[in-house]
Amino acid sequence: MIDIRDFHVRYGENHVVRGINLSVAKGACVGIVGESGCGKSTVLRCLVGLEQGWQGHISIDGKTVGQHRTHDELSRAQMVFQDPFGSLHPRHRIGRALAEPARCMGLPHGRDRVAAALEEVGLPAAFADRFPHELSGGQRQRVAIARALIVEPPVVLLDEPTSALDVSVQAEILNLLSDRRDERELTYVLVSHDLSVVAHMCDRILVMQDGQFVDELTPQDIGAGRATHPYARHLIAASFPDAA
Amino acid sequence: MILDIKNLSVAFGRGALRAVDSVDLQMQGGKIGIVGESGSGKSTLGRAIMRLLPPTARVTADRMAFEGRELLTLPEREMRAMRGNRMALIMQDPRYSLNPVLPIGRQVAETAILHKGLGKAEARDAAAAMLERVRIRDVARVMKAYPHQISGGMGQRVMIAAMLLARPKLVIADEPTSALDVSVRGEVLELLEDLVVADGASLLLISHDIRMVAAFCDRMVIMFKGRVVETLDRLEDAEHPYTRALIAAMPDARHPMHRLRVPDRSTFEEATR
Amino acid sequence: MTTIPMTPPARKGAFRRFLTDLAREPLGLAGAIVVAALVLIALFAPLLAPYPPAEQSLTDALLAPSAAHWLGTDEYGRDILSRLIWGARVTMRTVLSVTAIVGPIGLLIGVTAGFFGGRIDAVLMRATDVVLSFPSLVLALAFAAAMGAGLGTAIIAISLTAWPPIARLARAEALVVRNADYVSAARVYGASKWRLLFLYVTPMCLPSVVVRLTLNMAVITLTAASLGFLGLGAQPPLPEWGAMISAGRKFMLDQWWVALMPGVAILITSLAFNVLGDALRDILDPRHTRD
Repeated sequence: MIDIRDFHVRYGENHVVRGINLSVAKGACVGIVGESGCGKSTVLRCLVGLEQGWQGHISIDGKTVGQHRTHDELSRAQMVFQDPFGSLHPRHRIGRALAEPARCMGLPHGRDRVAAALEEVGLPAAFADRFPHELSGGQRQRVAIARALIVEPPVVLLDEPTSALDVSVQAEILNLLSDRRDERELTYVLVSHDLSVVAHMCDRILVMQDGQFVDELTPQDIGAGRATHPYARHLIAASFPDAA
Repeated sequence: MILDIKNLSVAFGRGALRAVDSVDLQMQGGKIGIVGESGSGKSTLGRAIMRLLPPTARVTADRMAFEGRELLTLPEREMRAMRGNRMALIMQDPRYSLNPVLPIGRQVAETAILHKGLGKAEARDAAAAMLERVRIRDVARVMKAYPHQISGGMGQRVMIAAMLLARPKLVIADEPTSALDVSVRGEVLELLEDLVVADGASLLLISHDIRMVAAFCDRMVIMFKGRVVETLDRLEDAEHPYTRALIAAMPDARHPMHRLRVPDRSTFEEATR
Repeated sequence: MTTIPMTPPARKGAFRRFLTDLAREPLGLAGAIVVAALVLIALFAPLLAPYPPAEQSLTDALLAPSAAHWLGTDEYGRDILSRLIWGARVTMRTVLSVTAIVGPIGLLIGVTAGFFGGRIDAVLMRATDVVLSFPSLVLALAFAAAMGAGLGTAIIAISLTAWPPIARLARAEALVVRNADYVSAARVYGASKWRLLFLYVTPMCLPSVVVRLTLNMAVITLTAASLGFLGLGAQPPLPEWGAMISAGRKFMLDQWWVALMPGVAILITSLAFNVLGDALRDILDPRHTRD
């Protein structure tokens, strides 16, 4: 479903992503875990078409995509952002926030469509008339997920989707993401610094350091504390301080 | 007793809603963690103890004593003499808690000048010594650098250096590792252990990360909606439905499940009453 | 599916909420009332003025304030209160016209420069810098001298140099907004650049611009009065406040009211705009609110 090869990103002198390769099968959930500055968010942003100036090869759903995307190419992959307070336009009502993607992509964007989108993420249709500041963080993130799904992309990219949320709200959102993935057979790429979240959600976890993938783990590896690369081992140890 | 708090409540403005509701807390030493989600009142509690809340806050308590001295009635001048000196507050994000327009050396030295009455040159030496104690390698460079020129982890060490220079007896750390990378968190906690506990001082660690607090602190106080819900030493001892729900809701790599157990608010809101 | 607690939505209209916010700022409320009063005075001048503004009565020249003439009369026996009331029309027209011209132009130039960046930003900002470096009064003088004095000329002359600060402000806001996640999200779902500019970025720049425009109204009042004082604004017999001060200069020592009354009118108007603008900033821009 996603194929990235010989991928490099340079900002002037800074070699932020150094030659990564990534293949994601349809319906899979791949996690990229790493610390700030490792380049994981950059990979996601280039993948979704937000950033240009990368080198290499990206193909989504069998078709190669370039630096600038057509509407058709954009509709193949959508993104859920980290900050629920920043990813919704403060002056647009929720109904408008959900109708906009459909409208821009030339899809039906009437009240019914919006209500269905809200229902899918467990929110009442009446929320369409509210403004983002009238919703809680968890509710906003649900809207962000609904917004990503409304154009029916086969691929959803998740940039730290629960980092800004409380533990109890995080559980709701992760369950919602799992349910949507099961029902729609979506392909996820999840970026996070939180190893527990990534181990819970993903089938494969790639550990990123200084712009490169240094190790690949399964959730079982993380649970058992098995890793080959020293940085991955260090990350696991630091993430589970109560491990005996 | 380092800290003796009885029936502390904090309300803001004209609202009846209490950010902190009838909290009792007693500290004899060691490390105590205050755990809660957003809105639990844990940060407000920390700042109430330091009397650092805005004027719109109404703080009431039967007793709020530090080293036997009642804090609520203390005049502001004496309170100021205590802050940074006998009691210190380490905040979450060094990007916002350090002054961006002053070099680091000057900021750390300020504590020495204010609370130890040292002259400028001696204060600078004291600052350099402190930066070494927090295991910063290139002390000379860091002394002259500005906050935006150093990493987050180093910034937090600088904050700790500035706050601990006067060897306070009580250190309140409000989410000291939340803004840092995972691999750096352990180092900061180790530093707090060495500098605070080894010195015989007490640490009040405020955090949303129950696992980290369980592994690091001697005792945990769980807060929900301003009230203390439970006090425990180990996660396994959790009895209150809220604490158990919180632990169950966290993804655990060692016990994977397909769907996480979402806390049902109605059950523990009853139990908290 | 987890049950979502139904919190009652805040259904107070945005305008009602704005009014209640304004009521909490006594100074701002006072400013708003004065501005509203001025607008009403300007609208209903024919009904409010006790005397026609141009009616001369040389026998009643230079009378001190009295029951018959609350603010006295000028050198031609014209009632000063009536002239001030009619003058409010002139002032309001000038202020509102200039704002209506300068606001949209400044906003458009600013958000375009801030949003697109690069060469467009460079070109627009250099143009802005050039106009900003002109002393406004001198340019207005030159313009009036070239085009002939009059109210219309004064409006255009003031507008010519009043837009750069608005453009600068709008650009600064746009620079911040264009990096927001909600703009990035819109890019990802295929919103065109123009859609982003007008429907996403510009609405976020409006509050600061509105505040600045309100504060500017104070300055426009003073500039218009200055032009009038120099004889380059509204021409007689139009009762322009600045021109009234100019005419009253000759009598300042003995018949002080001729020059002072229009001066006080200008002062109150300018102050009201300033105070209202200040309160608007606290209300509209959450970052500037005081506790």
